Amino acid sequence: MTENVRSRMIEFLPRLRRFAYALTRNLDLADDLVQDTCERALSRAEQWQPGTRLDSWMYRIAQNIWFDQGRATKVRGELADLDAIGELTGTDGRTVTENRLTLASVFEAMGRLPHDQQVLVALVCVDGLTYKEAAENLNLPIGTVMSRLARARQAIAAAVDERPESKVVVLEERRGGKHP
Amino acid sequence: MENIPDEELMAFADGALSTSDHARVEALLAANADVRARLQPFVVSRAVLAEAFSEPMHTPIPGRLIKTIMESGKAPVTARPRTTETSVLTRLFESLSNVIFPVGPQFAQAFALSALVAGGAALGWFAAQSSVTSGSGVQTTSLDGAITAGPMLTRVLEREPGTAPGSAGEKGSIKPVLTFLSQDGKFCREYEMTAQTGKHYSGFACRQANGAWHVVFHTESKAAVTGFETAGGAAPALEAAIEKFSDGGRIEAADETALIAKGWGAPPLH
Repeated sequence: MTENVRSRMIEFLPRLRRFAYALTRNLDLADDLVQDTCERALSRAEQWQPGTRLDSWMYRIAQNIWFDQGRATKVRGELADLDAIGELTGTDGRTVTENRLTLASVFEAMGRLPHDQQVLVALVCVDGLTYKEAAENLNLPIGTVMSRLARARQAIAAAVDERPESKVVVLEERRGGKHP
Repeated sequence: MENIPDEELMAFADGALSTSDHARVEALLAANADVRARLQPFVVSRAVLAEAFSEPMHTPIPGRLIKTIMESGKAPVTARPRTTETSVLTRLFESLSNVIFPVGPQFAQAFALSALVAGGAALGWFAAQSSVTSGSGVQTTSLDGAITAGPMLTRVLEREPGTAPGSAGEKGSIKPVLTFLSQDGKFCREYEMTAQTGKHYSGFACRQANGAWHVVFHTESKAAVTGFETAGGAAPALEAAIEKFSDGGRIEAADETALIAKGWGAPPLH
């Protein structure tokens, strides 16, 4: 039975890592969270009932570890002060603010959401679960899930929209474009 | 003014409506710019979120995670691995991990909708974005040339040799580190910053034809800078970025001094 759980966990690892990354917004913290989640899940593998969804069960374990242990508060604002010296300037002459770094603004907007909204966003927009599946995961009515998710996504879109001129590019793509 | 709830627009953006509801909302959108504007945040948020957190789907699964799953709970746990350990088992599963990446969520629906959304360009710019996170757990952001060096950073990059102690300002200090030529023939210089807050940053900027220095890469670096040397492995992502960006060699101190003296000038032709 446990061996079956182990192999299913391995298949599920990429999604669990992405879910953890959405909550932690840091790859190393995400992998630490994944490791702790797997350990806890295996230590109580008898609680998982074959036939029910392994992913929902492990997502719940992950979100409990992340939010209940207060780890979530430690990473707040990590990206906020990349320009602590005020020496990164936009070409339009304005000083770069934390939101100028657009990817950071998505991460930060995520970090500013209430915990349950972060989980919802991670489940639906990042992992691709349906509203119903997310509602079951959080043990909430589907109407509540939809209204909270709508608010969360409006907040994230607003954060992105504030700095439409911002650009963050992948280095390889930039180079690739110049050196075909 | 159409009274359609946000939740229904969101469900439309997610392709979660029934066929008849979908058609009804589609007709509303076609007829009403306000409703189109209200739809946009849901289309944009889905696209940017899927992109922003996709990195774990493209990177190999660390061996320690496979090891944890294979071995956890089997024997009394002594010291559990926190860093990657390569065993035969681990390597086997790391090679397998490329095979078991699942297919990403289906966002074709959301992207198809972008044509409906006025000003959907927001989708376009994000497609080329990503973040890099260094192995040391320090968040890294790479920037394009739209970010230029401020006055103090410009002065340091333009005038100070790598052997200089750097310049201090109100909010912190900056010193140049090394100089190299980029593959597209620009002079680039690595710098280190220490903010008053005690945090360290490093990055590199390249000199444009008009004399401006464009910051290409900027990251918070975890380790302190000691003397003129960067503490080992302070910013592996930065080192990797420089390696990819440079033409291979660094510019030696004597040449650097000469370049500063003549105001950099045109880079050598390749």
